Amino acid sequence: MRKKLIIRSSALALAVMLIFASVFCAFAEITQTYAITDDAAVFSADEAASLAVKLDEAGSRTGWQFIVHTSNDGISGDDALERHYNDYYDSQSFAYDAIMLVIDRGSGLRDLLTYGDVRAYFKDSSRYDIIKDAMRPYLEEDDMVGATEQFIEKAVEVHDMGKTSALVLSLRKYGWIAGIASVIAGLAFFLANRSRYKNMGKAGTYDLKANSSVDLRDVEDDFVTQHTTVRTIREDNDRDSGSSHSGGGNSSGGF
Amino acid sequence: MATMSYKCPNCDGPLKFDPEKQLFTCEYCLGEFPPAQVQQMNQQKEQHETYDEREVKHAEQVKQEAQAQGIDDNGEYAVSYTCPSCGAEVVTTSTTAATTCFYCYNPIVLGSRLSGEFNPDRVLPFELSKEKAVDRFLAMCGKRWFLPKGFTGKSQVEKLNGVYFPYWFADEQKSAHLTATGKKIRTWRSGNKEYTETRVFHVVRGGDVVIRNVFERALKSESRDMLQSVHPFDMSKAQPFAMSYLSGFQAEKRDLDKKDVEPVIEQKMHEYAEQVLKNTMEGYDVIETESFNERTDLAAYTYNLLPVWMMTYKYNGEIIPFAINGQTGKAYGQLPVAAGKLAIASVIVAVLVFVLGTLGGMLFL
Repeated sequence: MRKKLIIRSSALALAVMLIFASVFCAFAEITQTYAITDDAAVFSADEAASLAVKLDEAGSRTGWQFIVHTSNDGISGDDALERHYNDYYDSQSFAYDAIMLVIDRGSGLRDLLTYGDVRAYFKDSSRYDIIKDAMRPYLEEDDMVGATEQFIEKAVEVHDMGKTSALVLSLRKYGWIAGIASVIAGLAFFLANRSRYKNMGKAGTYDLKANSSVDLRDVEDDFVTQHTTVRTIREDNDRDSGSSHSGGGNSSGGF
Repeated sequence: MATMSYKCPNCDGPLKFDPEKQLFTCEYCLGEFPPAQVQQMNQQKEQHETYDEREVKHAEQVKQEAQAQGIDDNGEYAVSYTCPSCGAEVVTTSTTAATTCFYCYNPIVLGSRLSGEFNPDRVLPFELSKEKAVDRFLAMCGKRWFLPKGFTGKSQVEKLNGVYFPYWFADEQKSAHLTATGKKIRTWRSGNKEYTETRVFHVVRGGDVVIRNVFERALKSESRDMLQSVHPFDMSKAQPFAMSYLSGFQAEKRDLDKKDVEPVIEQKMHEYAEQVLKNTMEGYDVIETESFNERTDLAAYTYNLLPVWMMTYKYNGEIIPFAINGQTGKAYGQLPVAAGKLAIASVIVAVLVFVLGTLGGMLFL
């Protein structure tokens, strides 16, 4: 009888602990197509389940793993955020081709991180902005579910746009510089050649040295005065301290 | 008429001066004669040539009539002669002193143009043959891709004419005196200090300065730029003037007197004399002239004919001269540009730079 009571009370305690954990502790689910690690307990179980369905659909359609990670780590600063959550990604057994939405409740910052082949779709940083811009109104309302749904929807849209060609990207980023340089080069070529055809043989028509001589009778080189000026040179010793780190993915920067 | 034609003593064919051999040659019997022999043979003939009064009167009359109508403002007028070989009428400008008969292609020297006060003191014979001048011209054009099609064709090359152009040359000896401030500047560093030491000197130079071969064109009707820029010539090879050197070439008579060019030459002499004295102030980093004065002790002006291979072409409605020094081969002038070709090439260069820039940009993504 006593043994039965002990078993029952243990089961009750375990049940209470499980209920308590389900309310205040992390929800985590990792599959091939998506991962939700809700360490900050941002989503309710229903919300997480609903998001999981959408993440799974998106993951299946794109072949990417969609990761939503919430935490209370309180990491601030773009570099630190990127470094910290890249380490987090490395520490988990996430898929190689993945896109991760990080919601850091501690610092109030969010970040989008891409890994593997997904990075090729986001070489154009403006594509991060498509997602961020769609999420922003929901974030302002602190509607994390709505924001996450926007993240899923817009990430799929970016996938459908295809990979960003490096050439196109270079054109967008450096095209104007190349354009200006090409106009200058073309003009310089035109003018230099026109000048080369126009002004031939004008120089060196008289050699004074060969056609003159001098017989000096009066030569004076008298020292008059001397002065010295001193100038203090300001040396610029500012140098970059040069820090670097290697992360596994690309970050959009905190927002 | 006041014309000269130098004939071969063997076959009576026309004699021409060969710049490479420095001999007179007959293209019919291939005889070759040194200049001294040709001059001796024609000396008597040259002395009998006098200025044809009728020719001058007629030309002046034509000029006055033209000026009265307001159509002649360049000082030139046409004069006609009779070719001593074929009897054809040869029309030249008033400054032409040697030419070729347009009918029989025999060389004619208009002796009257270079007699009396217009008799040159020296002539620098051609050293560069027409073939070599053409080679130089073609070699130079070969390096230029944007010439109009056909510019280096036979018809263009045939336009290259050997012309003796008139120049005034001056040699002067001057007593010159230059006072200047000379500065020697030394800079060094010690720690974060930069020291500049300036030592100032009172510098004087005085003496006899000789300046030779200062030249100025003696023909106002031709482009000054062209006539001045085709220099330098090695005047040590100049010969006492003999009309026979002009045979086979064109020659121009001067239309600028010594007094016309004197101010320009004297200004050059003044600047050169100061420069010569400055050049003796060695070891100074800065020389600032305080005073310079000079006096001309000796001056000698000579009238010379210098050899130039020349052609003209029409470009953008303008007649453009192109000249090659008949002694050294130095080229002067303006070559025409095929604007279309150059524009296409410039666009290709621009596109290449754009493509390379864009591809290079991919390395920095």
